[in-house]
Amino acid sequence: MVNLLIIAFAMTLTYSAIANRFSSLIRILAIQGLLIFGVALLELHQINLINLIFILLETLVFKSILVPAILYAVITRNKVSRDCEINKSFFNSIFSVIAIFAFSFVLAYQLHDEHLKIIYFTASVSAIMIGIFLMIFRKTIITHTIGYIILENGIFLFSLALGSDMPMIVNMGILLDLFSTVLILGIFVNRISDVFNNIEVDVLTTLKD
Amino acid sequence: MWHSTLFWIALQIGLQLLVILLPTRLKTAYVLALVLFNTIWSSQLAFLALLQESIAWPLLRVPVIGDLTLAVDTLSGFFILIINFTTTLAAVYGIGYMADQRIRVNMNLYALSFQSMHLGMLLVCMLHHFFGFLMAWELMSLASFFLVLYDYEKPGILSIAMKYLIQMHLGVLAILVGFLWLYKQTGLFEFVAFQTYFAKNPNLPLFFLFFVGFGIKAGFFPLHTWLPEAHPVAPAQVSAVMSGVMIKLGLYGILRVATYLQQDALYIGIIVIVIGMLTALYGILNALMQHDLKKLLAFSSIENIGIVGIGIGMGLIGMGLKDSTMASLGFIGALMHILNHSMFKPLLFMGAGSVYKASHTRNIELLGGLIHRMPISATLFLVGSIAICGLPPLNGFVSEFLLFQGIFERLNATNVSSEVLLLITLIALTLVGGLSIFTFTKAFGLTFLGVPRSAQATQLTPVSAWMLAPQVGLVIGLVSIILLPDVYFTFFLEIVGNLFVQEGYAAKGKVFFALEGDTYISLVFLCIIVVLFALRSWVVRRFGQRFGSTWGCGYVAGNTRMQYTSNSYAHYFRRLGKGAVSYRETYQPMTSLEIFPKERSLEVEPTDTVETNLIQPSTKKLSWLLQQFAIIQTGRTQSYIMYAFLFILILFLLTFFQFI
Repeated sequence: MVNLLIIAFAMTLTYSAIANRFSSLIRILAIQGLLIFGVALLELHQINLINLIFILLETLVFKSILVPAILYAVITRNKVSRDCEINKSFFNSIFSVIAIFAFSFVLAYQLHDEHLKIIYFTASVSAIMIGIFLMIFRKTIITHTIGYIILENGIFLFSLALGSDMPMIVNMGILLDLFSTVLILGIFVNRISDVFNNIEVDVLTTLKD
Repeated sequence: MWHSTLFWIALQIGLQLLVILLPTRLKTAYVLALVLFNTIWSSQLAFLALLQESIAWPLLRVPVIGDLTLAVDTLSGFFILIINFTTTLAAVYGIGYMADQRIRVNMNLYALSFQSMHLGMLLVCMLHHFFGFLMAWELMSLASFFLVLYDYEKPGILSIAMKYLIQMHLGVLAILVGFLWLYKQTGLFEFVAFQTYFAKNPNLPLFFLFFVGFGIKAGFFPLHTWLPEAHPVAPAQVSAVMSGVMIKLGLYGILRVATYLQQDALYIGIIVIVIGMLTALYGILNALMQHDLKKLLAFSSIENIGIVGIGIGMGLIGMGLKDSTMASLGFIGALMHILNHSMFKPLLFMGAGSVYKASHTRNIELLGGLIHRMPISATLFLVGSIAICGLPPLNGFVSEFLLFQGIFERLNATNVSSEVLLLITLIALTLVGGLSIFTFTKAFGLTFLGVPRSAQATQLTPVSAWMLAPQVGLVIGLVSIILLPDVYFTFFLEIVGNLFVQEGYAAKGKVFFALEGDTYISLVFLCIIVVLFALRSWVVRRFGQRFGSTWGCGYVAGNTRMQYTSNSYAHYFRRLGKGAVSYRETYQPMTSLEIFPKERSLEVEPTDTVETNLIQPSTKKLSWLLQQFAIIQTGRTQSYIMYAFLFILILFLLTFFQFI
């Protein structure tokens, strides 16, 4: 069951590499939130009320409802719908993602750690790297934020890969990160599009010395 | 102790920041008040140190680096007193000079920086702990950097200030490396480490490292290039403090390190004396070329640093040769000159500031005849000029005479053949003295005498009493050295006897002998002046007096362009000194085909040889090299994320394959 969820997570990752509509990317985020919620629930060793509430809050409320909703509001407000200029062709993106998966697998098998759950590890490392991949090769700031949130999902999974419950403080840290990211994004996008009529980060280079 | 220290620090910070809340026109007065406050407690410590014994007051216990102790000994005490004297008067001058400044932000910056600079300078003298010392040093340098930057909206100021900042930090780098090396060798963070280190290791390399570090601050010859640019652009009272006392703290550093020397003093002394000579000659040669009044004064500061360097060098040679007379005379001459220069250089800078304030220009070529419109300023400037030229009866003569005396003593004592260096020094000192008279006749004569060369020199705004009073104070200081030399000398003997020459008191007789000679010569000189004056008045009374316009000489069509210009005054000299002085000349020579010559102009702009031939080419090479790395600066966020990612990946792979 858990493996199925994680494989679904990996599939969303693959899709995120080629999706170029913001709405589909946001939907991917929502689905990832749900999947992570499922994984966390199944992995929970003992049902502790506070822990449960916290995970519920973090994955379900924040990751699959609140953040996508805010992002959705941002794109409707700014009337942007797609990352119109993907620097890479679809083939290259898919190929890069597959290379990342392969790399993660090889890495997971090379580590030889008995506590390590290989499937979690692979999915989480891939998610982290694909998040960074999105940030590096896409142009709009919204995609960057989405890449960042995917990265956070990867970190969340990673902690599960180590086979223990997440310490509360790490959870809180991730929440804070998410919150500030989305907040900054909201301000930033409105500002950039006000000033430049465009939300591509490339226009920011005009600000440099 | 803890609480009192924390209270003290909080009080200082609070008092420093309070200035922000005040209305703009009260800020300069507050600066004066705070400078006075810091002056009072620090002077008290300094007097205690000079009169009784050294003071040490544990200030803070910092983890890892140990106790920060506030320590004042005789050498620190001396420097603290000159810092306080000059800075307080400069703060008074600031009230007048900054009176028309109304921009709130600028005034806040000025006030905060000026206060911190004073505090920084005091702390530099008081902290004997490496890190504390460096922090105080930084405070002083940064504060002065902001003061240099005061007129930031004018073109060129920013690059000058950046140059100053960078060169100061090169100096700090040398000092820091020296400190770390000492720590590595001795395990101590205190200045005592010098003693331990010098006892076991060769003294020359480490001393040289510190000489470079402190020498940049002081402005010794090849390291001086920041000085003539940074001093003129700051407000006058800041130039006065920077030139009068701050660069002296470089000398303080050198003297402080020199107190711990155990061996090699002779060789170090020779190096220092040679560098001192070069500095003095280079400084005065270039001062002569300048037509910016403050730049001229800045180069003259380099010259005076060189003279102090000669004194320190003589002292060290004396130490090396175990000749207590020469050592005492050298060191006392150096300290005396530091004291003198901390009085007459601010006096001159303030005078130049008054001229600038009144006429809005520093260019000598545009001035002239100011003595008729600002007689008090002119007289004060004249007094400063006489003092700085080392003419009797003013105090500049006293210190230079001591150095001469030291050289003559040594030449008398041994066979001359081994003392070629001292003979050269003698010649250099004489030459420097002569040239400085040349320079300051130019500075004073062209600025204040003659007739105005431009409209700027006629439409003068009056100078306030706030600006004149501190100059009078400095003159009183100058005169006190002449009137009460015994007091000063006793202190100097104390310092030198404590720190450098244990047999300092043995040389007491010689020093006082020198002093007597000094007084005697001054008297003779005064007599000559009085006689000449009497003769003049007799002639005037006998043959009557006629008044004519300046440079009248019977020409009916005399105009202002018939006067010497700053350029023509130094014209022959510029040719003679070619190589040491450099200049940019823009003039298009006439061709034989030009039948009807067009109007021509000749423009001569003095440049700094070291700057153009040494600093600029190497900076250009360096910036070319650094430019090659500009490729990675794309300005795109994505690229930077990629760099970070690649870096993490490389680190990860390295740990994975166990390279690190």
